Amino acid sequence: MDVKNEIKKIFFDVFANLNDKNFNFNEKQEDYLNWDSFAHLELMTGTETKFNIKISPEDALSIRTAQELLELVQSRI
Amino acid sequence: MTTIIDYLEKNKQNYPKKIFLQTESHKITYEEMYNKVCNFEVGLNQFKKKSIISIMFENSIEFVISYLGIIKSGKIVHIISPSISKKNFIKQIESCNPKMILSLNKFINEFKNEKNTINFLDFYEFEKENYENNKNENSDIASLIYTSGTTSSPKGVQIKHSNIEFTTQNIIKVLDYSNCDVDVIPLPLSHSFGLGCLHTSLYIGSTVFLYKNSMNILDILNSIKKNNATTFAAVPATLTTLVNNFPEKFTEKCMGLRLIITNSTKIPKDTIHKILNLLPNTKFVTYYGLTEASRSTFMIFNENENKKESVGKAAPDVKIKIIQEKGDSKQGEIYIKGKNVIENYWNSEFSENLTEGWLKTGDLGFLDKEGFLYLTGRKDYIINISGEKVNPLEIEEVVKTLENIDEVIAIGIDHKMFGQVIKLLVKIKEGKKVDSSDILSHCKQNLERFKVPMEVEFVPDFPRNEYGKIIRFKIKENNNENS
Repeated sequence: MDVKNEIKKIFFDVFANLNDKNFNFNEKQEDYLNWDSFAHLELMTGTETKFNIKISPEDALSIRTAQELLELVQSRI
Repeated sequence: MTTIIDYLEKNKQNYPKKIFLQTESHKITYEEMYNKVCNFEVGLNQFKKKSIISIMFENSIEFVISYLGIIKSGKIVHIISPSISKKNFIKQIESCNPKMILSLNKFINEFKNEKNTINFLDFYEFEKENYENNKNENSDIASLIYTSGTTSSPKGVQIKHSNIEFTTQNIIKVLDYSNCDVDVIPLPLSHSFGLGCLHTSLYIGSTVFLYKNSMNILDILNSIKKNNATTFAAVPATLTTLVNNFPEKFTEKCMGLRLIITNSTKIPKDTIHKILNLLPNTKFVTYYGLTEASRSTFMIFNENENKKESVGKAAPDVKIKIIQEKGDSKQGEIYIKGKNVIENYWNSEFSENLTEGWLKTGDLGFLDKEGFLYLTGRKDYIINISGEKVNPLEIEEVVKTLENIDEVIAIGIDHKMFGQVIKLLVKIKEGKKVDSSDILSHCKQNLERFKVPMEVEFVPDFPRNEYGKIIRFKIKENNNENS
């Protein structure tokens, strides 16, 4: 599985305004227009389902970029 | 007429070098804030009394300077959350017709194409211009905030300076705020809960640590301890996350707090119990209020441990009554009267909600013999998601614009973090196919994030009355039984 691409897809699903042109793995949560707790919950549950992993609350709260989520998933699969 | 600017000025005189506000990127004293607000005001004096100036910012120094600058200039500040949907943005702008919208380029780029005639200005470009000072009369209305109405049109809630003063003095009186307080606020200032906390700090002359939101909650916990914070305001979802997942850290970092305040979105009993046990010396408080009638009750859990399901007693000089409908002796609609209640909605709309100073809230509840208020539900179908009121009709209208949808109903279902979330029940046109991911993606593009359904269920039909009309309460009942 292309993990990087799958993470990107999860972000595209959650944030309707994202596309290949404006998506950046290193963009921080605070720079998104709408990365709030609802979006965060969706990102985490989407990732858990896609990769069949469990993300602890502490890990979930530490994720601030797509890159960090990618690294977390890579360390688990 | 006293306004919050009088208190800013008083604090500037009494403690000019004291930090008023600290964000992740800025730190500003009372004196610096006052000077910035005075400079900012000048650019707004070109507009007439009762002109509307809109602001669209996340929690930031720019929000606070603009908000106070507009109030100081005597104009009405219309607060728009940057997470607003484009559809609601247009509705609000058409309703209040602002002279200009102050924001930051990142938001302007997102919204400007939607309404080209609007004078959208970047905060920093506005601030650096030189303006002629033509001070004119002040408006008695301070701000305008839109909330969900019972139709799909939002209600413009116009808040007077006198409403703010009354509410803020009640908060200070009931919760013992003082200028020694250090207040941590990770709540949106575009919402009455967060804005009320900011007013309180400004009135009393305390120091505020303002966060954009509660996403980085572990950093916020560290900041509480590091800065010797004394009060912390957070929504129930944040507090529940903390006590369930990080009880030791929560206790260690928050033991210096004298007060934790939350709003009255369903607070799980377990969360109340855990906070009282983990921090026995900290006052844990909730309140009941609406944008139209802020802080109408207060509930101090520590002092009323056998009434944990109540939202407390009426605030000083606020009256609450319950109007029962025939055949229902247990509960009724909650009415509120007091100087915290607005006199009118914007454009004098929704006047049926205000009679002789009493606000019909649409909330259902009852008072016990000691005057404690208990909330039991809504008279209409408004859904409360983490303190945000949502009209299901608005969501249904958006989904119905998709092809092949025959009928759709949005309901609120219980959720352990957010109190309630949206569930969508969809009936598809015969012989057609619709994918739930298409519905959700459409909702994400056209609705605010918190209004996007968490669940979608396809149904063959809905329960109906003898005239074929869908019976909403039956659908809600069925889903609550299943949840």
